[in-house]
Amino acid sequence: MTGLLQDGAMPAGPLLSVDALCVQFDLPGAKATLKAVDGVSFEIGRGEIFGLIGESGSGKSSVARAIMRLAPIAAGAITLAGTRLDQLQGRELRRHRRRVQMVFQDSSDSLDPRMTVRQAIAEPLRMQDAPPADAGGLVASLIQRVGLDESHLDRKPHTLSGGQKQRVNIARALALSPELLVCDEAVSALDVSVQAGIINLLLSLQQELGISVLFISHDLGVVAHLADRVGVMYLGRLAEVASAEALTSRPRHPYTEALLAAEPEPRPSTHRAARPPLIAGEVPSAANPPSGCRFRTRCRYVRERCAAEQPPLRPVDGGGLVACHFAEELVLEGRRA
Amino acid sequence: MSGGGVLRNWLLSDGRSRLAASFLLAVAILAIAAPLVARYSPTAQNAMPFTGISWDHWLGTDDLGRDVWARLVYGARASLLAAFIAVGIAVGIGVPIGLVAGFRGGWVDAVLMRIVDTFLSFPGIILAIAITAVLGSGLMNAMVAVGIVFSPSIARLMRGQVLVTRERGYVEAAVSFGSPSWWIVVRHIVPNAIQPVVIQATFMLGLAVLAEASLSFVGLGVQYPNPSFGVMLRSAAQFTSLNPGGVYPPGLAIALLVLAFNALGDSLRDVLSPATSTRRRIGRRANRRPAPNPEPNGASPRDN
Repeated sequence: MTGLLQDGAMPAGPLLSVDALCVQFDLPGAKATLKAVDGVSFEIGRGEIFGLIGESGSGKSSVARAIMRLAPIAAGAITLAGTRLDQLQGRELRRHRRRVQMVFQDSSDSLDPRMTVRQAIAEPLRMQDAPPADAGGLVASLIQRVGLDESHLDRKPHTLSGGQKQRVNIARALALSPELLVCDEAVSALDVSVQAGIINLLLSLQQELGISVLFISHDLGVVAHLADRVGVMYLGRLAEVASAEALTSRPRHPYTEALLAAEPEPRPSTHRAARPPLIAGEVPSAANPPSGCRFRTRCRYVRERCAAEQPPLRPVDGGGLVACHFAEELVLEGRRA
Repeated sequence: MSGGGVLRNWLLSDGRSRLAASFLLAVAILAIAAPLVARYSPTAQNAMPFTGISWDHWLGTDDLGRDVWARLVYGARASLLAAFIAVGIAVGIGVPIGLVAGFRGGWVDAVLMRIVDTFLSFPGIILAIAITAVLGSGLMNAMVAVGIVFSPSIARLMRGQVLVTRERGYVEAAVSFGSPSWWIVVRHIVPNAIQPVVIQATFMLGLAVLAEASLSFVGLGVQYPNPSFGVMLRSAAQFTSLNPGGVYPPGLAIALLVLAFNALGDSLRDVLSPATSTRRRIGRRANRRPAPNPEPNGASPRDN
């Protein structure tokens, strides 16, 4: 169990730093490329839960897959505690993969239907150069840690519920004692009640193990509840990065405001008047994004400068980062109490 | 869920597969025990030609006075062996080609699939005859030819399956915790991609029996004086005017063998295809099973 709980001598600086990351896909047929991620930079501190939200197609999953080295990295740097993950190749890459592990969205699809739970959780251990001596005991402690018991170990995935399968996936991701856990829409496919169980499990595991978590979701409520800091992505770029508290109470980017306004009311009937949605239309195609600010086609505060000039992600007062030319002037409404 | 348990459940639950499997088992036992169940040599003349059915010669004698029952059980040997050899060769060639093409992709895939397409563009039996002409006649060569003819469709099937399996989440997960490619192929891709190939191979056993019979019928397979269903059918066909019933023993043997392999393949497909779940195996014939329940044992209390 290396890499865990060594809070005594932790080097300073963030655990993960993503710098100007670009992820491109060639579009079949047309001689064009789709920039799924276009110059995204952020950092995740040690023991921090960093949330990443955005609509479908905003590139948040591509960021996760680039960090996992599952998606092609066109440009930029990904540094994990001094190691340039983006430059690793072959055996070196395989050796370092254990340091970042992922919980996938589709809990069924990410488990081999022919493997028992025990085999699934033990698989990452077997793949290491030096498998732990007591792999069986480790598997048993992992299954208990995620809230299942040893009777589940000899079952096949199809006999488990969605929530149980996701618990198995979490146990498998933790088997290698990663420094960073990436959860890509890990609870999105689950029932709300099951979601709560998984989220609480992730929180308690994070506190227990002190690992860093990159939590990706399209559900602002879930992310705000779980994360210390949140990045908001739109069309392959970060629109805003701020602490979860600041982001929801005082958004600085019009897109964040629109996302907050679109959140369902917990008690719709008791609310005085329904707020009109602040955003309309569809996300423009990432293959042909708008010039300047990418959100300008749907922004209700749009001005001429937005089409001409791309707003950089810059610090604003209050500690956050915003990619909007007019962040200081705009008075945006946050989540209502 | 053990492999043996699956097989047992399946055979017990389905009448058609039970019948087909028992027939094939009986044929196999007869073929293996041919010296014991036949009282005469299959190649020796031991009676007048066309004696008709009698206590001495259960199915009569052929044009040279040889015992038809003896020739039939020895012929089953040749036909079954031929079928398994041909399908073994087809799987042995087709599966690796499909696996490599599907897993590597790119130009490897393109080159391999164009070769496969070339083979697929010939009519099967003509290609088999051409290959036999090059290799020389004889049962073994004929079966190598049939195996080569069958291998492209296995390769295509395998490639398609690998392409699908390669994109599954558990393969990506295996990559993410640093599994080497060989492990991913052996542990994840092959086991999850092979099922339709097994089913197809079962159907092919029937086709191979037919192909052996056809090649032997035209004289490219089993050589005189040895028996096979195809050889027997040919000699019987030459004397239909003298002995009209002579075509029935080999003809029916071929038909029943092909039917049995097809029935087996059909029910294998029903059992294996939808899922690897044990629940689906029960009452296949009734087809009245309830919709698969995603949470058979309920969610764990912590999920609620």
